[in-house]
Amino acid sequence: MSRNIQVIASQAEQSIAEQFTGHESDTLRADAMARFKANGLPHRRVEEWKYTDLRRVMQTAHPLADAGKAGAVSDIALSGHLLRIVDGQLDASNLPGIAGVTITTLDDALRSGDANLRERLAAPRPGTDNTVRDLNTALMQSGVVIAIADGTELDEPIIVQTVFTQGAAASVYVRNVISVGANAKATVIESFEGPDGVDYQTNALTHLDVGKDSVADYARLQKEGDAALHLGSLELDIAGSADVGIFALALGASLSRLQGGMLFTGENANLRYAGVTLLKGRQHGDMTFFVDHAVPNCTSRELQKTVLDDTARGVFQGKILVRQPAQKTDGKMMAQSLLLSEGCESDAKPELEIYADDVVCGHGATSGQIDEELLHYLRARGIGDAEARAMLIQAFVGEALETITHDELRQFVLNDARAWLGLGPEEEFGEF
Amino acid sequence: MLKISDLHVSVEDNEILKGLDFHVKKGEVHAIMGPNGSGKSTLGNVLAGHEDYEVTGGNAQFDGEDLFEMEPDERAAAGFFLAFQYPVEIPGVATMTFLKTAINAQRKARGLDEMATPDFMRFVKEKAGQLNVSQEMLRRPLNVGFSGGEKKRMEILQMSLLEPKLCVLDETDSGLDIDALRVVADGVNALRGPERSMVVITHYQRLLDYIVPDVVHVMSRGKIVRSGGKELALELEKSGYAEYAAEEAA
Repeated sequence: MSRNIQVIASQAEQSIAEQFTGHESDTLRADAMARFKANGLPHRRVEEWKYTDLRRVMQTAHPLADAGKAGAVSDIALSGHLLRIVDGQLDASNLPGIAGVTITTLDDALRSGDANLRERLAAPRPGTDNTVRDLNTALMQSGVVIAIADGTELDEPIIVQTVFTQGAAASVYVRNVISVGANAKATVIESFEGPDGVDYQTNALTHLDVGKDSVADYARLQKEGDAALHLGSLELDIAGSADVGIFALALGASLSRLQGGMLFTGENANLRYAGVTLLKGRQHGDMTFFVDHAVPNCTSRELQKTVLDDTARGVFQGKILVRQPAQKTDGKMMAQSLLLSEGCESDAKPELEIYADDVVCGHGATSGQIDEELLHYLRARGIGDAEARAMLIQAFVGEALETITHDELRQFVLNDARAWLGLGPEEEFGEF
Repeated sequence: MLKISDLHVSVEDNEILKGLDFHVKKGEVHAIMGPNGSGKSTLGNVLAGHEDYEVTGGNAQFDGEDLFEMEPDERAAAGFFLAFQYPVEIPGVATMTFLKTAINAQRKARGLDEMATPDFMRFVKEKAGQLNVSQEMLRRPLNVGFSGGEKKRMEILQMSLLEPKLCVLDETDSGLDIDALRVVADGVNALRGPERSMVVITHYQRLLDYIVPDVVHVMSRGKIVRSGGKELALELEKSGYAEYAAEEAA
């Protein structure tokens, strides 16, 4: 017998529901809003939200951002084909033209009646089937649909820069759909930025479909302002023999979560995930991933590096599901935390759920402090305590950074990490 | 240069050094030999300021200053260098970045300007060449994947670059084959000079064929029990440490 508990909607839940106007006839959005109204914001009694009690933390929901009030934005210091989403609106006037790539606004793509797209937007992946997704579907303001044609090899990355520019809090719902065709090669970077001290709210969901025999790298750089709430979702479909690298940096926001649903749809594919989370003050950062080995002969690797200072809290939840047909799966997941203070907290929950009998799977989680032996070695060479510690923290996250194959991006992220540590840009020593 | 008086050192409440007296003058090379467990490595580590080693009595004057009042990095900046017996591997720290950071941290502590990158590169190239340290080694993270001999050569390279006043070599010969030993010894000998003192800690006499000391000390049970000229090392090679172990038992 199931019991339906009628929960009184919180103030935030009521305000969110009130924002849903003008889309009542759109069943995709209306269905999602109906689910939200039934379920409310997730809270700690929902297993996947045990460590991130969104309902408690999200006391208010801000009105949808008005892109008409957008301020100035400076370009991200990375070379590539740049697209901008400012205060919830894609800047459609400046879409880059790239051979073999079709770029359309989400609005246009939906208006064109693309049934596949609507179906894709309606169907969650394991790990993203929740209220955060439903809210994005109900309230998505804008986004970009990027289709990279079969056989296209991009020399430069496509960069989607999502920026909040305003001084007053608002909420932003962004939905991006990226597909990489068969036999293609591409790097896509998404960055999220905003001002410190403004408690704006971002909910950004990205679909990434990687076609057969393709090589795709996707990086997600979350550098939101320090008072922001960032709810990110990544839904990844990996076709046969594709090779996919995902990198996630999280160092902004007061509360952030990135939830990933990664699904293997074809055999002999390979997924590499690496994440670096750097938190201080009272920041809370959550990385939750679900890797779904639905087909045989695929390989997945996840490596999460989390550095916590002050009273920050880092959460890692990673689940590898190996379904019964997925023989010869090779899956490994490792989450490591470096605790710099007495008051910080690391929660790690790696999980394996295996229904096939011929697989190699493993997971692990560690948390520890700076290695005193290594620290002593550096200090014995004259390097001061603070600088030596910073070097070791950089070294700790270095293993994850090294997985980034795009050189300029790796250097960019490294320097973000160094800036967090109070260090200047890394010097490159060439040949001599 | 270094004057140690009645030094007592404990590790986790076990007293290892029990009243050690030791005096090295400017420009001298001293060897410290002794059986395993006599406290040789403890001496190197306590001088470098390792926090597991607790000074419970005595003092050490380094170039007129109280060494034990200084932080490990301050000791290094003042010109103290320990070549570690077991150099650590630090994945994620690029060797070149480490070397430049160390050189410039010491220069800054001494009130000097930072060394510019081209000068640094030239300096490293010159010293690395003398020690058979390849570019490939310099491109790797510090000591990662290095053989025992490569790690020891990297220690001596650091010593050459940092130009300390006092070098303590803790069993730098352990794990080296004869060719590597010769390279390391040549590197050390190149650093010998009237302004620089050295303390060579070793279990075997072999190293002292290449780095000829001015004074040889025998350590046993946390004290120096005998001192003499370089011929003392040869005598130990013949008779072994049994005599000193026997003294310990007595």
